[in-house]
Formats: sequence, structure tokens, C-alpha cells
Amino acid sequence: MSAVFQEPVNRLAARRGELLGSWGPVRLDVVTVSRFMEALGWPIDGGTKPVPPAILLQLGNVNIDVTRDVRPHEDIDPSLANPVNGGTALCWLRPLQLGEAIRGSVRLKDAYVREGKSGAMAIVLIETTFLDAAGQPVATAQKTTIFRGVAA
Amino acid sequence: MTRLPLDWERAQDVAAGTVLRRIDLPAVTMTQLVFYCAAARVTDPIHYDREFARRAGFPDAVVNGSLRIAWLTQALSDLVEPPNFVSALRCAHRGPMYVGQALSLEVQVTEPIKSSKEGSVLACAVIGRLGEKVIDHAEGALTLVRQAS
Repeated sequence: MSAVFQEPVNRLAARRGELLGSWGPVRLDVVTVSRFMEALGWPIDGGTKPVPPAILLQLGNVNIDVTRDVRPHEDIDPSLANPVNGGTALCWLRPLQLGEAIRGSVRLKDAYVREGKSGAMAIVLIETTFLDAAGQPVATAQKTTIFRGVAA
Repeated sequence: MTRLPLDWERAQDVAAGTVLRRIDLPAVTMTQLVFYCAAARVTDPIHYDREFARRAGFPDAVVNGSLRIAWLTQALSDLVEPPNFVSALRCAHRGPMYVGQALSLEVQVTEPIKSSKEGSVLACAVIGRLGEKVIDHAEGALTLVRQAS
């Protein structure tokens, strides 16, 4: 079963470390932060609290084409299918500041096949590094996507 | 009862196993999912189109993993004020969450405060439950700055 994943995984693994894209700068302004907190269902205050740390996860979508219905995994490798969110690891070096501008660079960190209880699966790790206006890192995010099948 | 907001001083007396916070979030509505997808510029229809989600094999619209991460992170972040901050959160989702379901969150200290030259860190777990079932288990860290007295 793992053989069906080997070709796309080998293709991805050969690209380990590759820069997949970069975005920004995106400003953490009051409107962006307020809309994010509103969507969370968390109480919105007058801006005295820090910027919500997890807002970083959405900033990379700034250039998304809203005229397409795109499932994110389709941009990783078109032959991989049935994705499941395999988890996220975030690390912040300092609190985010309201009004600051953040840039991001996205890299393919790793890809491999793993045998699980229900069979083989392809694991793909994508890492984003978030930088401030001075080019200093403020955070990193690693997202794991598990693919349980291949496209027909 | 641990006094909040947490700071370096207050964290000295916090033992492993201490529950710092419990929150019961309201049931997720389609309106909330639509607003979240718009705010986060999410274009995956499984999160805002119930029929698309069902055709993709899900029982209903799927609550975004990033929204769940944001809840877990915010539950931890609200415990501190600057210069203290959330410095890490690693989450593995143990199950799906769909529209109409309501998540309960609990923040629990997993290790007492540890100091190093980089700073002082309080390790916590943030657990998300649907009823009794744990669907999110996150390992988090709060960095607490020792203020000069």
C-alpha cells in the first residue's frame, strides 16, 4: 500500500527546504485583529490586550484567489488526496504588536510515508517563518498534513 | 485558586496539575464559520458549504483546524499580560469537529515554572473536549518575565 505514495512523496522529498512562497507585509491593524477576534467568538475589547497570537496562521492567505474554490492540499501535490489535518506547532519569540507589519516565508520542510494502523499514509510538513519589519523572526508555524489516498 | 493574570511571581506557587482555566464555548454556527473563513481568507468549501462538505465525505461543514488552534491559543494567552506571552503551542487534533458542536477548553499546568538564561517558562496543556471526548490536546508554554522589584 505504501508504494502508491512513494512517487509523490519522493517528488516532494527531493524539494525539502524549497521556498514555496513568501507574502506580506501584512499589517496587524485594529480592523484585522477585531474581525479575527469576532470570528473566534471571543470578547472584543478596546485593544488593550495583545494581538491574538494565532492570528499569524491566517496572514499567509492574504494573496489567496477568492474566485477559486481551492482545497489547500491541492497546491501541495495534485496526486495526493484525502487530506487530514495532522496538527500544528507554533512558536513565538515575542508578543505581536498592534499595528506592526509581518512578512512570511513558506518552505517545504519534509515529506515521508508512514505506516499506520489503518494503512500507509503520506505526511507533508510545511513551515512558515514570520518576520517583523526589521527582518527579525517573531514566530514559526509548522503544519502537518496527512494524505490517506492518491487522486484517481 | 491561582490568581490571574499569571506573572513570574504568582507562577512560583503553581504546581503541576493545577487547572488554570475552564471555558465552555457556544455551539459553532454556520454564521461563525462563514465569518471566520472570510476573516481568515479560507477558500476550502468544506468549512462554509455544507453540501460540498457532505460530497467530500464529511457529515457536515467542518470547523477549521486553525479556528480550533486559535481557541486553544487564546485560552492560554488570556492568562497573561505583556511582557509575558504564549511562546509555544503544539497541537494534534484527535478528532473532527463539525458545525453545531460546542468545545469546552481546559488549561492545566503540566510542569512547574522553569527558569533558564532565556527566561522562565510555565508548561501547560490545553485540552479541548466535545462532551467527554478529547478532540484537541495541545502542549503549550507561557514565557514569564521576571520583573525587577
